[in-house]
Amino acid sequence: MGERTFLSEFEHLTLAAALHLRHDAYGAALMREIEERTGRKVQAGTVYLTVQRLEDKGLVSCTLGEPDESRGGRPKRYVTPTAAGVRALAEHREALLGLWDGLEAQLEKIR
Amino acid sequence: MNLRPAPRPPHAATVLLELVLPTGPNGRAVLGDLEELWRERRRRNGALRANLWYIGQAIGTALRLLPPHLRQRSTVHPLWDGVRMEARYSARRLARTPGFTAAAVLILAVGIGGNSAIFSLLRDAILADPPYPEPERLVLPSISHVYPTYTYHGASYPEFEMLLDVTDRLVDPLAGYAVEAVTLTGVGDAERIAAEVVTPDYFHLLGVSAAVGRTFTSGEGNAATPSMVAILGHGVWSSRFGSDPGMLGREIFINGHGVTVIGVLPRGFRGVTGQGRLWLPMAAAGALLDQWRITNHGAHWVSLLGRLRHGASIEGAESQLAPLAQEMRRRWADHGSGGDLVAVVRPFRSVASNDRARASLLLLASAAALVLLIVCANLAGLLLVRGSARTREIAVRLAIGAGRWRVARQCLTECLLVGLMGGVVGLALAAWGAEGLALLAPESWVAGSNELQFLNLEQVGVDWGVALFAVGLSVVTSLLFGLLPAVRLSRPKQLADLSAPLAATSRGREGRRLLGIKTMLVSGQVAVALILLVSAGLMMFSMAKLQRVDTGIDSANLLKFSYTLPRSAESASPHLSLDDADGERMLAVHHTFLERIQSVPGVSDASLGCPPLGGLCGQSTVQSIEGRPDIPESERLQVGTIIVEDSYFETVGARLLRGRTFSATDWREAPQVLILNETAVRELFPNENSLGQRLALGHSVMSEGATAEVVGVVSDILYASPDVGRQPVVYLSSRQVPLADPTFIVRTDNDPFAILPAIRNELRDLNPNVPIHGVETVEALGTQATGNTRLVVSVLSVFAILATVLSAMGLYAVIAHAVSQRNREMGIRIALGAPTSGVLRLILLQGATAAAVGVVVGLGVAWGTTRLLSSLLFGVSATDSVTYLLAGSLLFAVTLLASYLPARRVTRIDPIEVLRSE
Repeated sequence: MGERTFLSEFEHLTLAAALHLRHDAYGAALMREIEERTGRKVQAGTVYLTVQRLEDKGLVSCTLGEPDESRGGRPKRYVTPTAAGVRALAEHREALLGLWDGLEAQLEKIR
Repeated sequence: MNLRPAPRPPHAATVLLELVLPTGPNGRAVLGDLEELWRERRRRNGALRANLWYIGQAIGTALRLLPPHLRQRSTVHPLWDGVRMEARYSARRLARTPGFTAAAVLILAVGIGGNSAIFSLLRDAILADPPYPEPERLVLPSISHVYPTYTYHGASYPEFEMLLDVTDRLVDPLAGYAVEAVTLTGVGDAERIAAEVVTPDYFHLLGVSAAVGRTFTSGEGNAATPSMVAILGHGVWSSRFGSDPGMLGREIFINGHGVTVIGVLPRGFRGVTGQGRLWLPMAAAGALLDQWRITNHGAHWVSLLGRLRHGASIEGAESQLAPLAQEMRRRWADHGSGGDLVAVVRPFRSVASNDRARASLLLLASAAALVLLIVCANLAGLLLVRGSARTREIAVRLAIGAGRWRVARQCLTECLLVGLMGGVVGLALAAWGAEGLALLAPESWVAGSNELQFLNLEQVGVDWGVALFAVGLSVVTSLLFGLLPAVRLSRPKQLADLSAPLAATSRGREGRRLLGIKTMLVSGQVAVALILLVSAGLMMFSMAKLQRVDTGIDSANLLKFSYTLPRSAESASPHLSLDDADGERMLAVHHTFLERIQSVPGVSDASLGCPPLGGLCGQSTVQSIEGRPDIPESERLQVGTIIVEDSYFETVGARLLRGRTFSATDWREAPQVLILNETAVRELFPNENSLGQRLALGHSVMSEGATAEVVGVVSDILYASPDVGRQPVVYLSSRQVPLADPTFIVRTDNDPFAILPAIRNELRDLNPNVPIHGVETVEALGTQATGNTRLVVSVLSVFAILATVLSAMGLYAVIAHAVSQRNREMGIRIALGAPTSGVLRLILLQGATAAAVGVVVGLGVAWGTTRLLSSLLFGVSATDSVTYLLAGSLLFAVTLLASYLPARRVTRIDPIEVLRSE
């Protein structure tokens, strides 16, 4: 470890949404959360690939729930950020804040 | 009865997702996510938007998950590159005119959607093979009873055994089947369910094996030593027995007899009758149902199904059976069933759908095809209009050396793109339409009479097959509507136009010829629209007539239901004979129950007898009339025989016209009496007093040689569907001909279904093992009888409206274009002093001519084609002049309006402005 992991934009969104949702972070909930919080339309395929990638990087761990009748008898796949995931998110935030430093005033002018 | 399945997301999209997602639980979790969100959106935004969203998700997900090498641009072949370039260029051009593109895609989507939705229904109902191995060799052999008005194909059990021997060389195996309602008891409430009673080879013949346990063995086909066993349908197994694998070897009770469960059939299997929920060995029918089923030569309750051996033909099988028919004719000549015996072998496919249902579906398919034709003409017109705005661009391309094929190809590519987009949107519309069709489909197609055996309404919808159909259709249509513009626009003659000033290009002879073609296209659309309008009109008038048919009763708040009392297996006939001790006992039970029903609060009247509008409950022939010479067999009047309790006529609301109704004096030892309906009186005693006459009926309701006296005449009651009309009916007293399976008819003060729990309680009190079944309101029976017409009317009307709107739009576009093209001419006319009304008239005349030509041609074609509708019409002739007149003038008025709206613009032309701009 020790090496920094950089997040893509959608990985960032997914991780943050998963933190918001705590124990109820699964595909549909993630899509709903991201759409509601960012107003951005989300594709199921994108979420799936991103979760897959985050799991490969060891940033989240996934567990399967019970089959659910209201989902056509299919299970939910719960996503929990790992310690490394939370750390990566924190570093990403730091990096963004560093980037934004000094830009707020300019944005104010535009508004 | 509500068998509609819970809504699911569009099937085709789910299939696409299943293809691209990994097969494990991770992939299924994504499917679950999408279904969950789809449900949420469906609740919030409605089905259409949820479906579109879901389809978008499927496509987006597929694009992201496709293997990267498939996504990369190929450099396979220069031709492919050319096509891609063409497609990109066309897409850009289309994007530049979003209004035109959207209109074209939408118009096409309507056509393709309609056709695909109908196709999804038609495919399962008619086009598909029966889902059994070697369906083309499945046949129904029979020694059929041919009567003057109908043919009966059933066999009795002894006949089945004889046929088994005779047909062995031609048909192998041969199986017998019948569907019977039985009472299932043992676990939970007593339930009345449909059982298929079959011979052991039945399952082998259909290629079906048990999902759990086994099917019947040949030993279980021996009637001498009947085996008391049963096979459960998957539905019963899961709903009633909780899918318990321990059911094997357990005992359940059928009509009060213990039978052992030996197997469970696969999910979805309902047998060839489409109704089976439980299977019993035919050899045990004597023990489980009635003894006469095994022994009686005259009870033709068994249907036969077999597979032709390789090399055997239907004709060969028929001639092989002919001697047997002769033999049986001799042997049972004295049996008095009437009718001739003929060997008949029918292919299974021919009986799997009912003519009327098939005709309705084919009619709808043709109507959909006509709409598509209009769509094509409409789009061709639109493209020509658009094309004439492009003549200069095309001329430039031709001049700098583009080949004619190249220009045509570009035009076709554009059409193909529009076509494919139309196909995709059309599929979404089709999913929606198929859902609607499944809701509208008459109950008679699937339940009960089972007119379309292989139609499973739960499966009607968009799947890969329908998607493929839609894509094929879009390619064909886009070629169809694109070809004419492609050919016209790429003509080298366009070169000449280059020298002309820009605004003049589409004037002159060429412009006028193009206008001629466009006008012809419009006339064609109007003509086809008129055919649809006339057909829809005829069907609507039929429906109105059907609904206005006097049923002879007051059907409001009338409920019917039945029960079946267990009877001793020895009783010899479905009608219990008068001296049968069972009959006496049952009559008492019926009357006790009836009294209890009458005392239920909310019940205003109750009786026992055949429910109106649900079909005749019994039929027989008038064998003789006392005092008249013998009636030859072929001339005997066929009558409905209906057994009723004293207050039946009062309960249903029929009127006594002469004589009296039945009463307690007509008890079983008293002389047998009859009541006739008006139609029977008209047929039998046109010029004499019918009261006091004595008739003999067939042996099913009257003992041999006996006659009964006519004591009353009642008003006609409609029993069959309105288009069959009134039939002669003879009523018999339930006191004199007791029934084991009576139907009760109850009139209530309010909601008929509200009294059911109370009635169930009363019955449970009398006998907890007897269930109530066949609950329905008489009004619903009437609605079901016209279900076929209702479906055709609804769909045809939608198509006719679409056709009218489309052709009006077509005319609108052409006139609007003509007006803009002739701006200068009109300006000059007005400048020279022509009144604007005159100029307006000139333009209107053009539209009116196109419309009139279309209407006249359409009327002519409709005159020739609507007779194909005759079999579906009721009370209106296929050439009904009122319908033609109404449809013709309606369409003419609409098209006139469609040309008036754009034509009005000429009155606003400012001549100075026009002349200055030149």
